[in-house]
Amino acid sequence: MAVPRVGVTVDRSAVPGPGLERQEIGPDNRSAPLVLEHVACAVCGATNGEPVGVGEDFEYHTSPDSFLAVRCRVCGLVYLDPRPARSELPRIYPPSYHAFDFSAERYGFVYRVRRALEGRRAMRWCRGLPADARILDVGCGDGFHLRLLRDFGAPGWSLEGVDASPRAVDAARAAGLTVHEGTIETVGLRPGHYDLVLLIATIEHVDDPAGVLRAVRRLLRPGGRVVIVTDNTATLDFRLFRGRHWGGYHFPRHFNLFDRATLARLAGRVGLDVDAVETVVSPVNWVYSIRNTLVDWRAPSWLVERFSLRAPAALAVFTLWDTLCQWTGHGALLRAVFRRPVDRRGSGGTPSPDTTSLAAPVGLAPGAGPVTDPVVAPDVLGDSPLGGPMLPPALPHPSRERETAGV
Amino acid sequence: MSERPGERRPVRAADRRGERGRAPVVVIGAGLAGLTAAAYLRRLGIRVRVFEAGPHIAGLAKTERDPEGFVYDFGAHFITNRLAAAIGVGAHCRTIKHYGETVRLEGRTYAYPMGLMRRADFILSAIRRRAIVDERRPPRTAADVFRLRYGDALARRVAFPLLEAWSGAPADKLAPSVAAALQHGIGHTLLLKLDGRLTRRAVAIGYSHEMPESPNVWHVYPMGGVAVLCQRLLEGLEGCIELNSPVQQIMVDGDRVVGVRAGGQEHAASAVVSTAPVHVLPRLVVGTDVLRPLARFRYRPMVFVNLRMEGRGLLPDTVLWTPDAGGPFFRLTETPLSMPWLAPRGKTLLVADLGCEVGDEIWRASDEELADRCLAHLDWIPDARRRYRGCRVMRSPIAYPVHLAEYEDDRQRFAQSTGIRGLVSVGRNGEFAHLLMEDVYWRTLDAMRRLVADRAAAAA
Repeated sequence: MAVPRVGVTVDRSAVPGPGLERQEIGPDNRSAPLVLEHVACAVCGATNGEPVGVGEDFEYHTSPDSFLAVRCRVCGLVYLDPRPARSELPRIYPPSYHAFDFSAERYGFVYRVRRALEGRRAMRWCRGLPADARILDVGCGDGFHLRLLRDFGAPGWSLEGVDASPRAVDAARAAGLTVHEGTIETVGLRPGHYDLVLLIATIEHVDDPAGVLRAVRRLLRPGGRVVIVTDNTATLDFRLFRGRHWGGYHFPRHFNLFDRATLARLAGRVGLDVDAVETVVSPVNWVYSIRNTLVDWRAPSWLVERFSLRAPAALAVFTLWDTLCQWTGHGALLRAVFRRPVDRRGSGGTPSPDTTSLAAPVGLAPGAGPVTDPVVAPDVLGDSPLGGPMLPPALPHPSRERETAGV
Repeated sequence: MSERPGERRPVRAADRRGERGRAPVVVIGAGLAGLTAAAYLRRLGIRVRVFEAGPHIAGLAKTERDPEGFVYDFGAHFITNRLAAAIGVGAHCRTIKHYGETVRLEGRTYAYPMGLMRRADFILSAIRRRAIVDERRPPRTAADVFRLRYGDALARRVAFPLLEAWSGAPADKLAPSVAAALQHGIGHTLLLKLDGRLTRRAVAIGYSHEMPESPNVWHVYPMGGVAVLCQRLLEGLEGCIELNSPVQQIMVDGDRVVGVRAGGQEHAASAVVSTAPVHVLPRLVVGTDVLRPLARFRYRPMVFVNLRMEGRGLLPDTVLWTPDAGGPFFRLTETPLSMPWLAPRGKTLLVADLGCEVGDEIWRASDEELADRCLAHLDWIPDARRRYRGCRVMRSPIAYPVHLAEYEDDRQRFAQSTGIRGLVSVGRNGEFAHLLMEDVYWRTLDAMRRLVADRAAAAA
């Protein structure tokens, strides 16, 4: 519904009042506003959001807009409404976008810790896979997780990635990985082919999470599973900071934010069975919530920089703190394992029960499908202190490129 | 506004059942409420037609700028950052760093509302009232509420004079609903004020009754006025809006709306969303007289005198209430104290609010005459007459709804429902409520959700 524009001009022919000329109302000294569009809830299709937070792009300052996070009064999904139109993705993921820039050169110790822990974590996702398993990483960026699987996994595994960013794909290919350029819905992968699909810090970025999961379901073999890691809204940090500064908002790049129930409900909508929805320790949303607060309050830069991904002290403290939260079942991230049911109607490629797009910007979804109760099993052991990369699914990730170059 | 059933019914695609082949929803008025309603319905794929009587969108909202650089806003034009983000116009808004209200009484200035508690007579009176009054008895008039809440002294010296000047009716003739309470009590309000000080943002206090107050919600000023919001809402409504098209009739068959007459033609309507002043509805609606009681509802006309002055900071704070001014105005606002861009450097605007009746001597007085009357009661501002540079006057025949006790029962019934299926009345005038911009938006969305759910239920 929104139309592209450089700045809004009030057409005085349609506005009362003599003495006014056509007036440019866009801010003079800031970049142009984004094209924003209203959306329905991506999980249940309702258009009944209650405001929970209003904020800005505290991290990259890509636009002068303010953004509203709403919580669906029907299913509880937290989502951005209105949100940037697809045409704005290159702006909200600028070339300087470097969240989770974990290259060895820049992060040194933190990088090495994360690589080790994330490697252990990746191997846990792969437990029980056959020696010739086929694994697909959706939104793989430069292939950080694929490389972990290559380095630590079984030699017979077939590893593939999908990413829409040519730069990320080039970097991954340079590392010797098999990566398809495009989105999972469009790259034309073989249906019913994969044993495991990974969506690590990806689903919160996509505008149609149901569409992506539906595509994942098609690609999985019957009985195959998908592992999703994403921010958790059922946490203390969300409660404390949700009004404005919560790190998980990552305004305006996280379009949909889940808790256990909404994630499980989404799985039910697209015909995936829920194996488990667990929470995972991560200090990142804590650290960035504080950082956003400091940025918003114009704190001195030396103080702001104490709270970043290059601040081991803050990361360590909040890893311990989030471990306490994890013991109460409210770790900062969600890790869900969904499984494609063993197909009673034949082999792969069967459409999921719900074939209607849920996230059409102005449309409504059909009535809610069955809700699968999540198996809640808070997981303490073996957690990585750092979450997955907040990688835009369709854009280059400079950090990963640098990381590749350095490895 | 808690009196309307606040259920938040979900709206889903299922609610669109039966929309195909249905007549459009007609929206009367292209102001904030009308456009909010139309844009929401349109997003759901429901056909809408908006009839606007005037040649412009944006309803009563009006912003004028004179050659000197003074900006005149008709109506309160600041909104909250939350509303700006909800509509998607945050980029066009400027943060307001400070907003405060004061009361001038017997030549002294008190911060509102807490500063009034500096006066021992007010405190004693409030304590005495609380001690002797049986609070279980529900208040019957606004006067009862104010006496109970603040004590006799403050009610008599401050609340009643202001209330009467604002409404044109004595406090004991007004309904208790006039007296809105603080959302979370004094402690929370003080915390919000402290937050505002620390963050240098005018945290919105007492502004929205629909959504919670928070340190993260503050006042912003849309550059270009409310028209900016309306312009944003217009996107997606291309071809749906007809200007210069006053609706002459709303046609009802049995207890259901069936259409409207506008521009001499009849238009079928599956529902009508009206933003018209409610006392007009009985004249518009044909086919039933269930809205007849609304003809008694009164709006208070108001004259706003914008005085251009030399200097800045002539008032102690943005708003000054003047219960004992003895003059024509009951409130003064120095808008540039909150929004410095509304006046050229070194100059300011004082807006005096004068309650009146259409056709009375204030309503008919010339601009200069009104300015002269105001200045005569501004002698406590040093050199007020010497500073005066001219004025601009705005007159509104329906500035505020007046909740008289005599029709309070009818008003409460109307707040529940118009009594006509398919007829919804929204917006500040349409709800006959003293709503500010953000509440207009959220309440209109809620009303539309109820409308869509009802239509779906009927179709099912």
